[in-house]
Amino acid sequence: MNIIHTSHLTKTFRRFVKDPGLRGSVKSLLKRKYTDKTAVDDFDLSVEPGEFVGLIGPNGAGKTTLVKMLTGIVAPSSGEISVLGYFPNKLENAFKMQYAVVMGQKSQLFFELTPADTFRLFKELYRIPDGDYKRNVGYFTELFGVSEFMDVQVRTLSLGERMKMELITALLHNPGVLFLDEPTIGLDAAAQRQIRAFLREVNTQKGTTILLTSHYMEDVRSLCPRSVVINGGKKLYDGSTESLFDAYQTHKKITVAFDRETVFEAPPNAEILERNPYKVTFMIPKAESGAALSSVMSRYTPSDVAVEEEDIGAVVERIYAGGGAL
Amino acid sequence: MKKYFAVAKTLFKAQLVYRFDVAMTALEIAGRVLFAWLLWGAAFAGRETIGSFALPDMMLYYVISAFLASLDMSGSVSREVSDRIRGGTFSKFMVIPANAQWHFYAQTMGASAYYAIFGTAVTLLCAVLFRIKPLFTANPAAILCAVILIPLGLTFMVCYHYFIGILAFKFQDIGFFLHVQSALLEFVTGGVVPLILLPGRVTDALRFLPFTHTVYTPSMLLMGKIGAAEGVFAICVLAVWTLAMAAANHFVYRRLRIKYDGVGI
Repeated sequence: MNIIHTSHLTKTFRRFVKDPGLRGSVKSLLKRKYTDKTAVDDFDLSVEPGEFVGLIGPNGAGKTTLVKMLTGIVAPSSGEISVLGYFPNKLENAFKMQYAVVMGQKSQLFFELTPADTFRLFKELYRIPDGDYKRNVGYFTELFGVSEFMDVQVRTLSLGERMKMELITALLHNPGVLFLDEPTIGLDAAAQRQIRAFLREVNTQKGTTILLTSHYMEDVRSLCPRSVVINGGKKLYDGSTESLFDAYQTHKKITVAFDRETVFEAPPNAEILERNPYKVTFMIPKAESGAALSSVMSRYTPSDVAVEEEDIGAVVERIYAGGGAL
Repeated sequence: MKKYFAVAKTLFKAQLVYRFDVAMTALEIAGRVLFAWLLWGAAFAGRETIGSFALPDMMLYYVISAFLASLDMSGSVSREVSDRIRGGTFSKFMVIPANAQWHFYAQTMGASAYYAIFGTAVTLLCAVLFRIKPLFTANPAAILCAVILIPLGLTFMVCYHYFIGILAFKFQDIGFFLHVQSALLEFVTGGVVPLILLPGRVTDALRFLPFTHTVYTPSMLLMGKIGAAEGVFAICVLAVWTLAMAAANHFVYRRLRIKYDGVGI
C-alpha cells in the first residue's frame, strides 16, 4: 500500500505582476495585473513505506510546492492527493502526528531557549510517552554527537548544529513520513556528510519513509535509491537514481600534474577545462577514459594523476536538458 | 490542553531571556503612573472631583489600569502572524498538531503570566511611592466579576489580534490596521482616560463593545465605582464577543489559508 499517492496533482498560483519603474508601480496601484503560474502540473507520484526518494529539480521547478501540498500547507488546485490515508490540507491533528517536515530555511526551534526546551515542548505537542522521549533524545543526540549542545541557547549554535537539532526535533515522535526540503543548504561538507549518515540510519533502522528535495545532487545520489526529477512543475523522470546517473553522468574528469614544464597534447574527444605548463584538467567521455589514461601514461611522466566523477552540476543540466529520458 | 500549557510555559521561559525588556515594561507602568500624577495633580488643583473621581481615585485607577494594560501582550500576535505569513514562516504552525489560534493564545498567556509577576511588583512599588490609597471595593461579587473579566479580556484581545494578523493572507501588508487599531484601542479600553469622563452617549455605546471591558470595567469594579450587575453585563458582552471572534477566526483562517496560499506561507 502506498504511503503517498498523488494523481494528476496540479497547483496554480495567481501572481501579481507590474511594469518596471515608478510609472509601473503607480499604474499597478490603480489597476492590478495578475498572471497564473502552474507550479505543479498533472503530477503522479506513489511512494511505498520505507522508501527514500529524492526529488530533484532546479529553482522554481515545483519541488517545494509539491512538499507543501503533501504536508497540507497549501491546497491543490486539482487532482488527487493522499498521504498516510489523509487529505493533507484538512490539517487534521491525527495526520500531523504521523509526519514531520524540515525545511532548511524554516525553524521549529526557539532561538532564545535551548534545544532541550524545544524538545520538551514537542514531547507535549506530540504526546510522546516519557520512555519513548528519553530513548529518542538519547538515540538521536548520540547519533549526531550533539549531547553537549542540549543546554546551549539555540541562537549561539552553528548552522550545522542547529540543523541537526531541527532534525532531532522532527524525529522525536517517530514519524512515519519525513519530508526534507533542502536540509543541507548552506552547510559545510563535514556537516552535510554527518546529516547524510544520520538520515541513512533513520531510514534503515527506524523504517521512516523519507522524501528529500535537495540542490546538492550528492545528497540524492548517496541517499536515495529512487529519484524523481521535476522541472516546470512536470515529472521528467521517476526511477532508479543509479540508472539516472549512469545515463547522464557520461564523462570523467582527469587531472594530470607534472614536475617540469610540459607541452600537453589532449587526447581525442577531450575537453580541456584548465591548462598551465604544470597541470592539465580535461573531460573525456566515460567509455574513452581508460584508453585516454593509458595514452597519457605512455607519452608523459606525470607527477600525479587524479580521475574524478564529472561535476554534479553538469549532470543536472544534462538531465534537465534531456527531459529525464534514459 | 496540556500541550497549550506547555506552549505557555515555553514562552514564559523565553521571556526570562529578555531582561532589558522586563525593565522597560516595568518603567512603562511607572511612567504611566507618574504621568497621571503630574497631569491629574494639575487638573485637580483647586477642585475636589472630576467626573465623580477624586485625586486618590484617579491615581488608583491609573495604577490598576496600567497594570492590566501591561498584562496584555496580544499586540505582538497580530505583528507576528502577519510577519510570518509574509515572510513565509507561518507554515511552522500549520504542520504541528496544535490549533494555530490557540497556540498563539497560549504563548501570549505565557508572556502575560511573566509580566504579571514583575508588573505586580512594580505596581505595588508605585502605590507606595505615590502614596496611593488602596480604596478597593469590599463587594465580593464585584471582585469576582473583575477576576473573570481580566482573563476573558485577555482572551478576547488575543482573538482580536489574531484576526488582524490573519488578514495578511489577503491584504499582505496590514500596517494600516495595526496603526489605526493601536491608537483606537488605547483609548477605548480606558488606558488613556477613565471612560466615565466621556459624554454619556459615548460611554453607553462603548458598553456594548468588548474593549471597554478589558481594562476599564475591571478597574472600576475593583475600585467599587460600578456594581456587580454592571460586571455581569460586561462578562456577557465580552463572552459573546470572544466566542464570535474565535468562530470568525476559525472560519476566516480556513477560508483565507486556502484561497491565498500563494502569499508565502
